[in-house]
Amino acid sequence: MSSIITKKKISRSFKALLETESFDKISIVDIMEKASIRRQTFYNHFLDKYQLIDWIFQNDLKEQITDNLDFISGKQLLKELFLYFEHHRYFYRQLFEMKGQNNFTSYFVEYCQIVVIKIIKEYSQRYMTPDFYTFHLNYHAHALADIFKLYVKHATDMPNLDFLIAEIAQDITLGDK
Amino acid sequence: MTFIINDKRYMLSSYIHAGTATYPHLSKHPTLPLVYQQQQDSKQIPILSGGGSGHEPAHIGFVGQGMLTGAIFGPIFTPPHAADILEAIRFLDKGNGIFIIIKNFEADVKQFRTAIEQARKEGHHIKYVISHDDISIEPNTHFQIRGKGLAGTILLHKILGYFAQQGATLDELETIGLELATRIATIGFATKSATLPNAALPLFELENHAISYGIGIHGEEGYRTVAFQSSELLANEIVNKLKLHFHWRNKDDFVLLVNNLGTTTDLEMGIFLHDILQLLDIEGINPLFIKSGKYMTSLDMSGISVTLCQLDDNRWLEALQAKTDAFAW
Repeated sequence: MSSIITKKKISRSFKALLETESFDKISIVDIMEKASIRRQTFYNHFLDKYQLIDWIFQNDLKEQITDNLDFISGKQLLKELFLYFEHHRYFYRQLFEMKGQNNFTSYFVEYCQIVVIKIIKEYSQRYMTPDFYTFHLNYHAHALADIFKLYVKHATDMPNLDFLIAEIAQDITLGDK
Repeated sequence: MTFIINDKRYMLSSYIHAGTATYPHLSKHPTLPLVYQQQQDSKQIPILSGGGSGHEPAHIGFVGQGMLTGAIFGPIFTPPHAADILEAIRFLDKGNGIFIIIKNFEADVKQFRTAIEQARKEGHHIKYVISHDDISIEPNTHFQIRGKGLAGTILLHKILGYFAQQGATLDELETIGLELATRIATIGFATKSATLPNAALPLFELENHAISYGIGIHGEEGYRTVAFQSSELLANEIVNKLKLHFHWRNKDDFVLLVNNLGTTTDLEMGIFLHDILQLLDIEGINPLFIKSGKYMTSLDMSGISVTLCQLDDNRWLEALQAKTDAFAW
């Protein structure tokens, strides 16, 4: 049976290795030695390190976004995401740079869209036609995804969350909700 | 469900009598639903806590040397009446003042505050702390944190009880209590709702094999219901919510209390605790002190709550490790 705890143990050692080594140089042997788990266990959970990195990305986004949708406000969710990417900057810097191998960007934009939907739902009082809503969602999901990537890449300051929310909610007079 | 009971009116007094018979260091006040320590150094500041019944062994099980001086009960899920609390204050305060630990429920705070105001007018020196460790949210309130007093209250009992035993003044107890209360966080889940004695229906609906996250101890609803898959997924969600609260860093010092909400088996408690410990370890957190068992229950609810307390002060650990004869610690 696949165990999330084992997967997380493997992920932890992989993330730690990525802080000093590049993705290409890390082997399954390195990962499992660092995790103090026998090598065969890796293959009970993942096919290869590409699947591992996919899993980390998907699981992290699920835990950071999906699992918090009904627990924290849109503003707090945004803040937590920035804090999260800051904390895992090394890992995500490499992940965002790996193009071609995986379909990270479109996957990431889909998750950002979930965040945008939540923010509109919680902070916007403006009526949008269905067509405009679709455009607006896409526009802001792509913008947000790129803002996160730049944040990871250039270690910039966290943007003003009220500004982001006001932009997404299309309500520039918005106060601190 | 069958609830083993005689006349409902004598439910609480029967329970208290059984407790004092089993644990001879405890006595019952002649008229009040108050359990107290028979022999406590009269120079020490007494500590009173209490609340509605239905949460046993809270708070009777935490009365003893190095913990509470007295615990006052109310009816099921209903706080003790202010007049009873006032009487308990008069009874326990031997002239040095009294410290009170209150769980943050509107009704509890109201009764305790009324009693405290009146007692102060009579010349009693009183300080108190309100425990608010619940980090779940109140549904439909724009994600407002509920902040009720849950199993984390027991850590206040133990740590403040120790300092009172060591001779802390009322002001010192207040300072420690106020700081400590902000460092404790609790969140849990239920696999089965509690049912009031002889009630036809449980307090909330939960299908077989379903889990409700973030429930309270009086039937307060959770923030999410999911189908059960595995203990480690439950533990993962709980650890993630605690992490969201603390924003901990690698190697931060914590105390862990895993609380059986009523009728979860010991075997399940162990499996779940093992998962919690592994997940905390992945986060770089290795609790310096661990408790697991029944501390703050909700009648026959099945479920578990997890409390973490960030150790800002090494003396708190010393306080937790110190001996007590309180039977439920």
